[in-house]
Amino acid sequence: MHTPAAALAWELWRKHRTRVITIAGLVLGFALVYPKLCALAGFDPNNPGALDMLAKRFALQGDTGPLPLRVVRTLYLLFLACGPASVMILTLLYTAWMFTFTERDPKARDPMTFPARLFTLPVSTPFLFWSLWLGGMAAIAMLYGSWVHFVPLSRLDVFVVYQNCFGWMTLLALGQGIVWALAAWPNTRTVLLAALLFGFLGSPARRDIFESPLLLPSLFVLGSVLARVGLQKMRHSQWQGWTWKWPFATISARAELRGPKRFASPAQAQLWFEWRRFARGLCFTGAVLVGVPLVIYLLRLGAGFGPLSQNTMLVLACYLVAIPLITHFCTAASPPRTDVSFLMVRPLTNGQMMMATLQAAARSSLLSWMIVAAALCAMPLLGDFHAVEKFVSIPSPYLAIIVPGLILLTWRFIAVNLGFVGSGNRRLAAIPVLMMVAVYAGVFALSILSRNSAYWNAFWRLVPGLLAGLIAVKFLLAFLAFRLSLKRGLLAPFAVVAYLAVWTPMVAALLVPAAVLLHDTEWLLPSSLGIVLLVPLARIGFCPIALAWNRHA
Amino acid sequence: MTTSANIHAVEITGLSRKFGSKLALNQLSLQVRRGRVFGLVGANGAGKTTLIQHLLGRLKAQSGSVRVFGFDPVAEPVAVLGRTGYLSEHRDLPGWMRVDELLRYTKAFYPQWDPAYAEELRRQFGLDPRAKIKTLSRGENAKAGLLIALAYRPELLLLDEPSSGLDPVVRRDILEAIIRTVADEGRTVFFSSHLLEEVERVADDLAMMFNGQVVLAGTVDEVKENHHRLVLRFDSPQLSAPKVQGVLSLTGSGQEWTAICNGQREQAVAAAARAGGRVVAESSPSLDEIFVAWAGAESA
Amino acid sequence: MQLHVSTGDGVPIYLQIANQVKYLVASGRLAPGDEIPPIRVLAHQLLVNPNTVARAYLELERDGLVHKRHGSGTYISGAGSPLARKERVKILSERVDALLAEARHLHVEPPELLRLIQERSQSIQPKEDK
Repeated sequence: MHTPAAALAWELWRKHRTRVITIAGLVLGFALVYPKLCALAGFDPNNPGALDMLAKRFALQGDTGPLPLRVVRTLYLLFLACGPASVMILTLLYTAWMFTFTERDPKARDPMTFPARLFTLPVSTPFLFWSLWLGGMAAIAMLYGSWVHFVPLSRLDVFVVYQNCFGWMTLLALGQGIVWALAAWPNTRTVLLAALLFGFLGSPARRDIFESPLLLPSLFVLGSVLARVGLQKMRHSQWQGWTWKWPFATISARAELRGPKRFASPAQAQLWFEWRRFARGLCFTGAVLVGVPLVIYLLRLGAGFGPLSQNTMLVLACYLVAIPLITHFCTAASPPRTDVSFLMVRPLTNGQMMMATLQAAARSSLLSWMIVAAALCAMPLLGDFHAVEKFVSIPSPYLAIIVPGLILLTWRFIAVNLGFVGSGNRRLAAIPVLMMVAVYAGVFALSILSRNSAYWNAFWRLVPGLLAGLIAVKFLLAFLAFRLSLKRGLLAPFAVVAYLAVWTPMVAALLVPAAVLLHDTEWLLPSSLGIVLLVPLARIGFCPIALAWNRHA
Repeated sequence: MTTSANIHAVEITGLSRKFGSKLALNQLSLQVRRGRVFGLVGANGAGKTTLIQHLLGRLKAQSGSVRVFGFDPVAEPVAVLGRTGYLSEHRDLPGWMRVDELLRYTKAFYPQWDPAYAEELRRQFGLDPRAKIKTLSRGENAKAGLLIALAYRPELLLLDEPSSGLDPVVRRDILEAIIRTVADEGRTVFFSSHLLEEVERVADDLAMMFNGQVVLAGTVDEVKENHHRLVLRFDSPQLSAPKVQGVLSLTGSGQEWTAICNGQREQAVAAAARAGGRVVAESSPSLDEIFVAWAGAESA
Repeated sequence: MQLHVSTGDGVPIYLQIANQVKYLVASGRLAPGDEIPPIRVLAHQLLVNPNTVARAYLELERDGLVHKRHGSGTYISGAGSPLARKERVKILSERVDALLAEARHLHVEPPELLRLIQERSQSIQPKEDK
């Protein structure tokens, strides 16, 4: 490392090398495998109407096959159609983030802190700016170029618009501008970044933006200038944010001075701790992610652009429904906790800590879904929601399973990963992400299996047995884990009984409607077994033990 | 509770700990009597923090045993932590809490929490209840940590490097807290430090740790009285430190050398005579000199 | 009562406290019958362990310099105790030793030094009388 620029480049490489290698691997993998998969499935990525054609063929064929076969085929088709393009979008987004040069600051709990140590190095601000700016532009152009040249990206209408290198460069410039200029306003920064992402990825007006000869270049210049000035101001701590004088501040202060609130028990105090530590933030993030597009569309409606098209409404609805799942999964798969040493020396049992986290997660799941439900209720304001409902056409009795099922799934993301993340071990904490990859790989394997209906039918006959076996394993592991926790005094017997008392109604609440709705189909047995499998038991039992590894290393 | 637990607040026997291939604690044994102030001194990396982590149950004994008031901190964390007030060396209070929230939250865990005492300490430390922890200065953060460790009058106050990186005012607050704690009947203080001045002022007992072992333990006065500083004069200038059996360290140049020895003063004088040196002056060394002498003897 | 504890040298703190109280008595700044602070107050003031102060007081009591009155406090004992004189001599001898060493270093012989002491003593006499 003979020059400062080389040192900066080395730091970027050192921090992101696994992911950079992964990105390179993804490009290479898609370049080698994807054309063959397309040829196998008879999918032509260069044909803009390929999706419709294929869908028609599958629809004709699918009527004969069993329902799960159709589901798997659809998923496979979706993968073929969207896989490379969406992976390209993700990798480009990651690269753009990489060149904001921010890192997670565990102390300030800020996910995007520009490291102040760079400002103590003997390099000028213009040098920092130009090396990061030029480096970022070059990296984006290179990555984009390799995607476009080596991978036959599908020419589907939805994705064509992202095949615009200058658009991505503008995203980088704006991203750098927002992150650097608003370093002292983290909340404003989050909202603006969400708006940028949404405006870039999801706005129906993006075609106009991308094709307008004025808008994109002016945004590019705006972002670059903002980034340059923002970096300068950040270096000298000039834009320091402002402190809001909330009108309620005096009222709330007076209310609190009336006397200290009391927590009735340690468990309640711990619940408050966990709620404030992550659950409240989850709800807030969910609300921001839900609110920003709604507000943008409402403004658009107010500006006289007319109601949204059915397609956009559908995409928006899917986006809204995905938010709680995504936010909760990301939290669950977060790196091991760093604030534990304060917590670990409180006189609490591991079971109490775990129960508080579970309760806080349950609250945030419920609240997030309530926010989403409210947003869905507001959607008829934006356009014709009935058409969307008709298009999705879920019979309302099924909602009785789907809605609690989704809430349960959201909560489960946190619950099942608690043991892995709580163990404080980096490798274990990576398991949730690996499991997600494994699930996707499983779908992929099933799709290959589904091409041969003889194999597929054999597999489908195996499913109930397989699930039953898994349940047996689950119960056995749960029994062992709970027994060990009880024996070591990590968990009070009362807590076990309380959790089982919650588990049983949860399973029953999903099983009963499932039994009523599916009583005469082949789905009944597998879905009942699946429900029993879905509600976490063994890993909840494992959680206090994992926590003990962390607590008593 | 055994009778030994009535006398000793902390009992460690044969404790060993390895991190990878590095031996952090090596067959360490230590007793802390109730109602005493115990100072643990040692160089950076001697294993002081590792030892304290064992007392809190944050590390599980790989071999040997750790008992705090007769309880195993790993098997019964609630019993141990409920009696212990701990101030961490890393200021690890959650930054998102406000000071009043921190007090309210901590209070829920300790039935013996004394709100009046907590309020008095808060005023004395000048902590704004509405301030967020992450906006506090280093000293204020330490004070907040000390406040929540003191306000329930724990039977054992455990301080890990309490005054490292703090200004003299905050250091004084911490020393006052230690003195106040021990002045109340029956309460014990265990603190680690590398500021020997502090240890000499407030500690009753002291243990010196090097390389994961306790090399010296006793009351502070005993330790000071047992060590002697001898100024030796040699007939001819010595180019390197002469070999004298039974002394911990020998520093100086030319004809005059200063030796620190532990206990056996007569043997050391005799050994010096054999090496050709005679004692020209004698005095008692300070704890700093004793520490440096032991550090030199241990690393040799 | 103003005491000062230093930790740089090898003298144990309890001895420093005891010696300084002795010095205060010998120099007349503490009179017989004066009360000295309770252990906890002094410990707090000097920032030293209460047990150390207790040990210093015990030492002083054993030497007959102070006595405890039941339930009220610790007081300086009556004047003219042989020990007070002995202490004074001891304190002064230390100073004289230091002075002699300095004088030798500056090549001032003891007779000349004695003359100097007398001169100084006369010149500061009026101020002390006032």
